[in-house]
Amino acid sequence: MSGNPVEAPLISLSGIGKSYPIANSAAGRIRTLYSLLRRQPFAERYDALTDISLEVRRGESLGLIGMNGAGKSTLLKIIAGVVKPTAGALQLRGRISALLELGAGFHPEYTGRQNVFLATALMGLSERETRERLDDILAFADIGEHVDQPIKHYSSGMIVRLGFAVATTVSPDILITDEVLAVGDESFQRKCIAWMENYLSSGGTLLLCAHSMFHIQKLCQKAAWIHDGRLQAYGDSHRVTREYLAWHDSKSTPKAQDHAMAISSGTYALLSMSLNGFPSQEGVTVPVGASLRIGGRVFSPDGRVPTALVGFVRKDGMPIYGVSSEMDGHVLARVGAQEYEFEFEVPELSLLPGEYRVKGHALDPEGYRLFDELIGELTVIGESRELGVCRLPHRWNAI
Amino acid sequence: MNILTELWQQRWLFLTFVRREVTSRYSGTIAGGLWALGQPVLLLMIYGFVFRKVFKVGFPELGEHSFVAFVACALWPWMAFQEGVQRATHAVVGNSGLVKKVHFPHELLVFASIGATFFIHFVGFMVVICALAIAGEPFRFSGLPVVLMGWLALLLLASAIALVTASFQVFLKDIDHMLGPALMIMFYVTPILYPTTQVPESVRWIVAFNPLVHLLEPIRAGLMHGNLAAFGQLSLFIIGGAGAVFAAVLLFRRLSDYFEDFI
Repeated sequence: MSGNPVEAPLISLSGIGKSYPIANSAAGRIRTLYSLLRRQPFAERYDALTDISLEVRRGESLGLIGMNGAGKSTLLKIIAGVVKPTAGALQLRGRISALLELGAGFHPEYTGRQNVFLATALMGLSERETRERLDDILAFADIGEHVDQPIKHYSSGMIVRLGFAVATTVSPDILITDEVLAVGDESFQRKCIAWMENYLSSGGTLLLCAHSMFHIQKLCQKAAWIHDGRLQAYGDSHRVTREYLAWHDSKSTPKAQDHAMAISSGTYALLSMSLNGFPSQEGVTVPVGASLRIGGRVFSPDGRVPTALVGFVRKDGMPIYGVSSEMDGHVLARVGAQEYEFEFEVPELSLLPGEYRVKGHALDPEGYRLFDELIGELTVIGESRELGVCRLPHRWNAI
Repeated sequence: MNILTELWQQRWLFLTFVRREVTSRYSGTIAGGLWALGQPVLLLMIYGFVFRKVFKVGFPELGEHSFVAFVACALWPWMAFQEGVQRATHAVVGNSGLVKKVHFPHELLVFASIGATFFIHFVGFMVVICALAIAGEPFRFSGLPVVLMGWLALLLLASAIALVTASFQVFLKDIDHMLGPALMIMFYVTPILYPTTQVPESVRWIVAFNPLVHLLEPIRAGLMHGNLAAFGQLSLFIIGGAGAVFAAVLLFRRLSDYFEDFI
């Protein structure tokens, strides 16, 4: 045993379940009301969550993954206190700040300033404590003189900025977010990410619900995969996201990419990708040990140098290797006002014969947000009796 | 006791809610808070004209007082009660964004709505009573303790009722439609435009079941005659009202866990 006593977990769920009454008709609503008043179980119910047990310790961020409607948001709401579980025990320690929806508590008729006071009161701050923080909040939100106008005249981006500024003013022990990283305009997203990095590095704990496995892997140590209201897998975030992706790909729903839309909405996009000079959509066949060149053109809405990410996955979706230009410190070549090119080469492809996919992604300059994806089929041919997916450099030593 | 400490911890939130209610009701209007006074004053003028000038109503209970002063004593407390219950019934449904996304005791919404309405009409009441007194109406301000107790009991009664209607409203939208007519009937069966003594003996026992009678009559008697006789009766009503609010909060909480699903 080490000398330090183990700190109790910040969040501890054991056997948490949540069921909702099914009340579609007027009679059903009356029956529901009656059973609630009598504290009786519902006649007809729908189990949103069943037997969820997990722990979150300080500094050990947790990501929730799963399909839409699997129960992720319900679980987040239970931890945030918005929803009461029907079964199990929930223990919470420390200050929790929930960003279930930025600006959720805002009222359109009030000014930004008045809404700040309401939102902080909802977090338990007194008026004096809010006054002390007001300058910081307004500086972070950076909405200028709009602060004294009613929120209804704000753009959605301004509301989001104010909401984020308020929610992060208390430096919570646990921050619960429901896919809010990708909000606001470009510069504010960078601000959020900078804040989040600082928060995590100073020991903050994040509880994130995201559809991007990339975020989960980058921000969370642990992940929980919720499927049909049950905990399907729980543990190391890389392992769990991998299992989830493999399962997801096995269901195989090829995603149509719409680059025109990506460009018109002003996000980073991978315009084209080539494999050994051929367009990626045609696929490429390569002998074992041959070289593979992956080229691509990336659209950058603001002209800054984007990040390119290249990955190899098995046909069943299991990731084999991935690396980004940002990780390697490579800067993409500028070929136009908003266009960049890269070429990525594997001199000796060590993948064993089989079917693979090459994935190319466009990311923001910080390498955080993944915007676009192109997939090319890669067939590796050759004679080999080796096992597994790739050849590792090795030798048999004489003894 | 648990509930009380929890609510006490949320006092800042409560005050913020109340302030929000009060300021928002008249934000964007030119006359502002004058509207709070204007509507009851207009009603008072109409009643004064119809009953005094057209119907030539008069009864011995008026004594040295005018009919307008007689109605004014009960009209403002009634307006606070009626409007408070009606607005607070929508307090939960009208704040669905908050209820669905933020963790806080939902009953604060009801209390804040009631509190704001009572605050507005209590101020209006004081202004009108003072204005009438300045105009020469012989009010007895020695009756003030009973008047305040009557208001407090009324506040508790309205809170208890609104906690039930607001929580039921989430599940059954009919509550709102039932409330309008119910309050209108209540207005006429409550001695606001007439004294209880004018009610025929044969049905007076029914009137006694209306709790508002026992709150509005002492307020009026206190102001008009300096009558403090209802002190004990109002004390009982305040204690009973506090108990009713407590019970209503317990009922409210049984339902509030499922608000986010039904709202």
